[in-house]
Amino acid sequence: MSVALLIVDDSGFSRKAMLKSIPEGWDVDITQATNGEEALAALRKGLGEVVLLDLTMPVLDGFGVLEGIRDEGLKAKVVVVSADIQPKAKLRVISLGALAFLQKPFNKESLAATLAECGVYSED
Amino acid sequence: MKIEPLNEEENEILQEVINIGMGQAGASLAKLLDVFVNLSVPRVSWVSDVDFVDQVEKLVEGHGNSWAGVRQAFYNQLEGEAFAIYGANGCQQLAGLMGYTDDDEDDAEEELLLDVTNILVGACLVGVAKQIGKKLDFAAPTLVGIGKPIEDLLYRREREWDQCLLIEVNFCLEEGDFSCHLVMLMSEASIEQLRSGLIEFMESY
Amino acid sequence: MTAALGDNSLGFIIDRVDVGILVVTENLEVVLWNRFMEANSKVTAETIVGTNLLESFPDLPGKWLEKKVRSVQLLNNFAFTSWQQRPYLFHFKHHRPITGGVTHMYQNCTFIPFEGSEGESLVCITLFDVTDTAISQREVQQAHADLEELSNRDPLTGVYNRRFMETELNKEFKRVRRHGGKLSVLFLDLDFFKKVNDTYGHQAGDQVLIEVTQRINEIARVTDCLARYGGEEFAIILPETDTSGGLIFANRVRELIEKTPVYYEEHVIALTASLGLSEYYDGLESHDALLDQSDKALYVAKKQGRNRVVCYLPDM
Repeated sequence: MSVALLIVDDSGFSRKAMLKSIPEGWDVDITQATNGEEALAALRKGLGEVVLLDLTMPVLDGFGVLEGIRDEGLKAKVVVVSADIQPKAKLRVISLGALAFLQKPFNKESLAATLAECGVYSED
Repeated sequence: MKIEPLNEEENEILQEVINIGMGQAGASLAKLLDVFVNLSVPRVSWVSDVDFVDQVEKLVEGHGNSWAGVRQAFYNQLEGEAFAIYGANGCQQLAGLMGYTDDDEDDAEEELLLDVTNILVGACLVGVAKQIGKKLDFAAPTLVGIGKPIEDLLYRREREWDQCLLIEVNFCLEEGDFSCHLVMLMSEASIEQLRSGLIEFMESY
Repeated sequence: MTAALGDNSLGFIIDRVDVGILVVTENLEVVLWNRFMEANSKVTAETIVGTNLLESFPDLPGKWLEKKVRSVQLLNNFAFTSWQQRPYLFHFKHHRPITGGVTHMYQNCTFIPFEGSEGESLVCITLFDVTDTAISQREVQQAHADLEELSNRDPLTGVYNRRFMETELNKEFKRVRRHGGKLSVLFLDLDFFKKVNDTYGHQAGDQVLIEVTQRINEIARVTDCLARYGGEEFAIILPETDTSGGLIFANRVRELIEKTPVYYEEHVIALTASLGLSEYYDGLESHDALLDQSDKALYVAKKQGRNRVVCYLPDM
């Protein structure tokens, strides 16, 4: 059964990069969102079992999405993918329920490794 | 020679590259002050020397006429100028966070603005340059003014360029008043280098 | 950097280049000290390398320097200091001739973090002598200030000129209109001045003007603004002064001029002056209206016989 994957980033280029870097052979159903509000809307429809979430976005940022997920009790496994690498940002997303933080720029290998660490994807 | 502005795809890549650079600058500031730094979404536009001051005023969209400005030039494979624009009260908050006491003279406030600008501009642009594989060097920052309207800080004068790339990012501390708008102008001369670097970046990502 | 030179040559260049170069560890222990630093500090590399910088230079801003070095290493970027905020890091003598007019060398510095051959954190500090720039800059600023002063003054007497006075009066007028307070303007015209010129010559006339302004300045307050309004006409702005205060002052001036003749060569030139005074009141349109009033009062003083002070009245 395919996994509902939600990709959230305001940058079209970044979303393309994430799509390119998704492990081959991973059976996923992909939805894209360009800001936090779109992301929450998609989550409410059940389109995001696994979420790749950017932090710096207009309208509603990544922190807002994590808070929304927590407040609304939505089920999602979130991997934050961001250029905001200040130590407090990493701590904050983890405390808001994210499973991992992946630093931008990333590549196929680092993405696969992070996904594996979270138990969200395995190579077999 | 008329330079072609960046196309939509190149612009998108540039925004992402700046995002990465900005993240590094924010992390530097956060490390220095031990506070949480809010990062904005970078804004990129192509401006002519006639409307660049108006454009910056719109981007900074603050109230009042009292801003402090620091200018720092950069050169080598990318060249241009960066302006850091600070709100009036922010400087005092910053001084407190950096451990400057009331006993320090006014020059201490000036030096602080120069130091913070140097850190933000340095981290941000070095971040950008590294992603796109270009060499970059910096001149020392200089204070343009304190307590002035934005127009005065950007000084209208004869410019050598007709058009340039305008990049704006904004850092603000989660608590208190401090905010810094970083406005970076990249001259036509470096656009080709920028373009080639962005393509390289895209291919390696 | 690519160089076709060996280490010895590079070392020579670093030592002898016309810039201060020193390298310190994160604890400010000196690792390199070039010839520029030796020559200007009289501290040799032999003495200082391996010791703490602050031991040899206790007057350095130690805490600031430690913070600077640490932050540059932590953030891994260059840092700068400019003579405009921090005139110098090391208190060295300058090398300008005695005409320099400065007491020390002005410096711009750069802080460059890097890793030593054993992976240790080091910072290279470069010191540029910018005394010449600093002096030029100061001279330009002084020339600017002098030029501005010059453009506000009457060349003969040194008091303010009409243009400056009107600008000042306008400012004061607006201030009083907004915040309240008192303001008076006094016009003064030397009686029969043309006769002085005709009888004793223009140089005598000039001397008279100079001395009269000196006398007025002696009894005026620091806040009063004395200006030359015309050939032999003067205006004085009297802030925080009402009519009665203005009259007291005006009469003192009138009496002083009458009682103290001007000596020029072998001549004793007796003088009198006519004065017109008016005070600001709410409802005046502009500072010009105030000047106009004082002028009318002066005219009446002349008509009534000169050598007197007249106060403006609405029916003038």
